[in-house]
Amino acid sequence: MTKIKRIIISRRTITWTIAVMVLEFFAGTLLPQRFMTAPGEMASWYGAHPVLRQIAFYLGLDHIYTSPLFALTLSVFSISLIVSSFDQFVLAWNRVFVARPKAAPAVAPGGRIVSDDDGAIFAGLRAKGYLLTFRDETMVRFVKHPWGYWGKFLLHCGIVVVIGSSLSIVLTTKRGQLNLYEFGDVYLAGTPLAKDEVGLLADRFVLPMSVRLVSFVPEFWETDNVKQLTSTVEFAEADGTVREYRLSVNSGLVYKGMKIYQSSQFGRVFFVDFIGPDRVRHHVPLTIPHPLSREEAGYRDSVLPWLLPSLHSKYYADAGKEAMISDDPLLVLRLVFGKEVLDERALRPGESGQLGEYTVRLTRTEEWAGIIFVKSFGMGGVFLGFFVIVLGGVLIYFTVPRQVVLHRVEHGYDYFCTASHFAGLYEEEFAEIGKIFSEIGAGAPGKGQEVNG
Amino acid sequence: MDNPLLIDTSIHWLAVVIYVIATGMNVYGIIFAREGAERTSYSVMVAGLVIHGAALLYRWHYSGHGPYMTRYEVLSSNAWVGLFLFFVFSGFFPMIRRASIVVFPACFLLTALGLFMNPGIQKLPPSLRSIWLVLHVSFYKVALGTLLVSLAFSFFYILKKRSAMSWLAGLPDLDKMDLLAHRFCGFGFVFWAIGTLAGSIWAYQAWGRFWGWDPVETWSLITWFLFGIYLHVRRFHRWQGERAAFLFIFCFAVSIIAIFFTPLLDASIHSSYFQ
Ligand code: HEM
Repeated sequence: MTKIKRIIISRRTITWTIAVMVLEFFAGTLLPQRFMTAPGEMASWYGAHPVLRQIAFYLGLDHIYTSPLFALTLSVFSISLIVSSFDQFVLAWNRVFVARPKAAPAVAPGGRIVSDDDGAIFAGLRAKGYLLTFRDETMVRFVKHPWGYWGKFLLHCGIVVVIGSSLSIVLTTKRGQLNLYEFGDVYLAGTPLAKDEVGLLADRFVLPMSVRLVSFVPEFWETDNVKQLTSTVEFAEADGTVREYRLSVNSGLVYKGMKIYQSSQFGRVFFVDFIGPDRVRHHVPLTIPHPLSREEAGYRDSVLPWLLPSLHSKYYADAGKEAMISDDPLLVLRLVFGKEVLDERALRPGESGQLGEYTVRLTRTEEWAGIIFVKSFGMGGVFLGFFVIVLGGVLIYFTVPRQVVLHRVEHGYDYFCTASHFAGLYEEEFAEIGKIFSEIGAGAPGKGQEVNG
Repeated sequence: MDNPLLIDTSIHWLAVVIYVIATGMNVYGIIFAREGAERTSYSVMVAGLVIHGAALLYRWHYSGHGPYMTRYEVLSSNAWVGLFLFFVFSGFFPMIRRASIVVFPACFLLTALGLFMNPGIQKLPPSLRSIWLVLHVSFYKVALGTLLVSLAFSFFYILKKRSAMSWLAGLPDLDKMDLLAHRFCGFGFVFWAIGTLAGSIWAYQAWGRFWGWDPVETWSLITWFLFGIYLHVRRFHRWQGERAAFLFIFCFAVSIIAIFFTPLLDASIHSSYFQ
């Protein structure tokens, strides 16, 4: 057991495990990842890099964070971290409460104080910010920033807490988005969300309430950048209670344990009637993302089951390109077959025209907004872990513990000073302590080199 | 003069000119052991810092948001924070003063580089209106300023070890420079962690997702882990001196990629904010 433990927290294992993690993160940025790259782009990348494709296939590099390789590395990393954190806890405990260095390290600033006036000696150390942490007949120990000893334990423990909580989130998260439009259809309680991502242990995401978008107000700066998006939504419960809430970007709400956010995705939905030569009418809602500026268009390509060519649509916020919000948007429809554009028609609200063999009419248009729903377990742990990591880091590097150990000798003490880190940077502080002591007693400060301890 | 962009860039240029003069005096003072020139260079640089700060405040006022949206703003404010921190740190650790020979040119180059970017104003998207975003951005700037001091001492260490140039004699001894590089890397490591974690909290607040493996997030994590490796090998494998200095320079280069280059990648959610 101890042998396994020794291997798992050996310096080499630790350094290599962290290095392998870094390499995997690097691979994750270098190679396109399936979860964030469109299938078409993935396919063309695979086509252009057949060798890398093979390697990615065997090692799971194109979905690195869900690959067995990453799971293995993360497991070794976590086990090593947990075992080491436990050891670091014991070490910190001993350093603070138990450690009784018997003799001065070979090289440390120190010397002899010839004085029985403990009060003056201790007051001198207290004046320098040192706290008494241990005292018996043979030894006295003063430490400056004793809490600093906990830094490494806290830093590593914080990482463990973040990893544990993140795993819980990965397993339990349910996340979905509803794209709703004003005066539009209602999401009915209990229906699976069309767009959702669920954790490995979670089932489909269904909302317990019906949802309706009452109003959506996008605001823009004069530079056409989005200023704010605000939705008013209505939640209807099975018992007939209906409540209205306002959401905007960066100001969400919590409802029945779910976090609800205003998505940054929004745009217009265009209701277009297609009437074919057979007089059959197809009523098509085209949900298109908002353009980035009044000069640019928002785009959407659709494949309709009754239409052989694909339908490419784009729209300008204002037909005159003069505003980002307008009652007069311009919709452009294109029929495309392969790379060939078969026909194109521009429509304003209420207009109709011919597109290929169809008569098309833009009957109505509304704004749509995305509303995000998230249910997960573990976020509190992640934030707690963040806090602990930062606290640990601050304790390690901003509150470096230094100790002065005094061993009783006849009519005084032999003393030495050490720091847990960067002892060389505290030479002046140790020299000042030496000066205080030499003023109290007759002993000259010893000349030694600093050590970490 | 009612063109705020023109006023803003003119004050920036004035600051750059002052920085260049101060840097020249500083380099001359340190290399040719002219104490007067060296001392004056610090005062001149502080004057530049004040003017540069005024330019940033002015821009903050007329753009309506802090200097973290465009590359022009990011480069300029990073330089300002780096220089400001250098003066703060040298108050606490007087022996780092001569790191100015690296910090000063780095700061004026960053500011000047910013001036070659588009200085146009981008308005703040609603998702960026958050205190966590401000902490996120500010702590990366603070981390960079701190790491710059560490970089200076890593360079000095290698230089002093390998050459006998007389001006190097005025620097702290080798062991101390090694310790200073280590200590400032420790500070940078902590600030970097705060920057990354604040960013994660901001993302959760804005989109309900605390980590998305976006390239900028991932590079930031890579950098933090690399600094973790540097700190580990110093502790575990007793890497010191030149070896540690070279490793630090490598880690610093990665941090520069993470801060300045990855936000330009199209695949990043950060790209639309920093163009
Ligand atoms: C496999 C996971 C890890 C293990 C087992 C581990 C273990 C250790 C141990 C045993 C120490 C020395 C404790 C002492 O001197 O009392 C240490 C120090 C440290 N570790 Fe880790 N560590 C791990 C991962 C990390 C990571 C991911 C980071 C941050 C990126 C990190 C940052 C640090 C820092 C900053 C120190 C202090 C170094 C110094 O003394 O200056 N560690 N670690």
